[in-house]
Amino acid sequence: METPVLNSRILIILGTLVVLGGLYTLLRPDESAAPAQTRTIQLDIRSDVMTPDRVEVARNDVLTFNVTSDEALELHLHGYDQSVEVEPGVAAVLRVEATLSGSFEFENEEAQTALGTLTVRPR
Amino acid sequence: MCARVRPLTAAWRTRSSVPTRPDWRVLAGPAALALGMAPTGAALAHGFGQTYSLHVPLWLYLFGAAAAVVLSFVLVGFFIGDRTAPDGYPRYNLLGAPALRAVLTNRLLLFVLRVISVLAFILVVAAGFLGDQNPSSNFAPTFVWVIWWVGLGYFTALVGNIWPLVNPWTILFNAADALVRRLGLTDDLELDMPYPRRLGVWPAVILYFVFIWLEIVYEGAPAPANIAFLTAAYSIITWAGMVYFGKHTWLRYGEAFSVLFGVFARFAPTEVRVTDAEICKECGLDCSAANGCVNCYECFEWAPPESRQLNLRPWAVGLSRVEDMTFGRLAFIVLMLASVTMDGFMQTVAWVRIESYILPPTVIHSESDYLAVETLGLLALPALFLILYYAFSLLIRRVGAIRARSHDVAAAFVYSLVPIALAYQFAHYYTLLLVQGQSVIALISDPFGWGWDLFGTAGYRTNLRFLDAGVVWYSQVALIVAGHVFAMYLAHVIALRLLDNRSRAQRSQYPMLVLMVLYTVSSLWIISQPLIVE
Repeated sequence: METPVLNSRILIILGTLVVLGGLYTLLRPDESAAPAQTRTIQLDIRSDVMTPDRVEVARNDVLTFNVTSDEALELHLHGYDQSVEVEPGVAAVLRVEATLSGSFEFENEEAQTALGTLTVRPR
Repeated sequence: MCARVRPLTAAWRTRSSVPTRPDWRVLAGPAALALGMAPTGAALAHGFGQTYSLHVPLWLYLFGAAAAVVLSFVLVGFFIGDRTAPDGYPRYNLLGAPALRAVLTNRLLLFVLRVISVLAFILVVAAGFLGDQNPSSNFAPTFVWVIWWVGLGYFTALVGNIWPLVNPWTILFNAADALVRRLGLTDDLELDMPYPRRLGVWPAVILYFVFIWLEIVYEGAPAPANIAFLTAAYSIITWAGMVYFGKHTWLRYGEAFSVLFGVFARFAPTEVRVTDAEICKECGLDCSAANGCVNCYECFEWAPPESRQLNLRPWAVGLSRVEDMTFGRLAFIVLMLASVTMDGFMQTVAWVRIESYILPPTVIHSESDYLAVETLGLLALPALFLILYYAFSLLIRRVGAIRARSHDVAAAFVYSLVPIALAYQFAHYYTLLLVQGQSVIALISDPFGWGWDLFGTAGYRTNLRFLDAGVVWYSQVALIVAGHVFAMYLAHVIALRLLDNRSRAQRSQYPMLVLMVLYTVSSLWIISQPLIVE
């Protein structure tokens, strides 16, 4: 009496694992291939609005931001805790090695206003 | 801008860049002052409570949802086993081992814990009123919202309920009681007025609602002065309740956090038990049970050492025990189930759509309009949950041909949904605890934000290295699916107890399965949404 119950339970567990494993491989996108990139990104700040306000990269990409602004400000990237002083009319350079994944805010440090986000996808 | 940065919804969110809105700060200032609070200063709140998390990608959400459905159907057949008594789970009494007993009943250890708790309480009020008003550089917001509210909640559910031991309101009340006795002013601080039975836990329901309103809707929640003001106000309510009705009565029916942590503690792998049923009957307050009482802290306090147990038990089994489920208690639990969902939902684009449907962006609305809509939302969702839950209870009763009253069926199953809410709460907030929680290391050295460095830790910088977004995704989905499995298991145990017929018990679980899948999938859906921040 005991054995069939036990067997059917093992079968149920195995069946479930197979179904879930199959679903997982089916749904999971293939992201393995792309190697880390080196990217240069232009950021323009005009009257407290940054263009683009969303930047999306993959983890371990090496980023160079060329930042211009119409007023003097300190651009701060949360999480990475990196900042760059920007003078009007002069392009400032912020280098970021995107080693942390997640969503990180760009902030005008003195005014404490959010200017945009850097999204770093995990690999 | 869409990104998942502020996890505690409105509490951490500045509205200024939701384009359709006026600059609410101008309007909220006078409103808050009228309420007797400091202006919210949400501009200063910037940067507080960031977790840097990314929303779960669509494919993983779909996988999680599918896993919940597949597991549900498998488990319906899998769990049906033998009927178990409410006490029929394995237990190990930690007080039975002399070494453990010495540690766990150590008076010095308890004293130190209590001193820390009272010091933290005083520090919250003092730093809130006197300290720097930037939430990130003041001890009060991080301690209250992150360490205490999120951290202690997790601890209670995962380890055990230490709130009855460290509740600062109880400790200070006991101290005041001892003081007035010593001074000979009165022989008892408690008036012990008869508590109206009709009231039940409704005072706690109302206070809990106010608390979640502050957390989810009120913009000024991270402002230190507001936290201090609200803590002081809640202290007055709590002490007044303790004096008027007696300490234990108020803790059981009125002190919202004792009631809430009491629900969390049912999931915990520890319980306090008084084995002598006679003692449980005498100490009153709904503690009487056939063979001793579990997590009746007042009885435990009075019981002689030989009838006290501190038991290790499997997780979640406490949620299959249903003692004295009044409508008020059911409402409290449904409010908890709904509020964790509402907390996340109010940050989604879907909610912004609903809000702009009610308040069309073509007209300029005042901040109080948004406050009203959000408050209505916070009232509507629990009401909807309650109606939905009752409807499903009726279905369970009908499908299972259960003879019990429909309220009793609803009462029996409501705890089984708690693991789904807990799991969502964990998934939603654990990054906040890990990221923002770290800043308490620096804040403890400089609680007022005055540039102190008491313990040499003021310069501590938050470390994010260990928190990979991919790991966060998988753990969030895994947590929610695990909560679903716990919930399904509990519902089965309860169904078997309610019905002596196995096949009817199994059938009664199909409506429950649908309800639980709905609840779990909506949790998953929220964590897969790009959340509105500013």
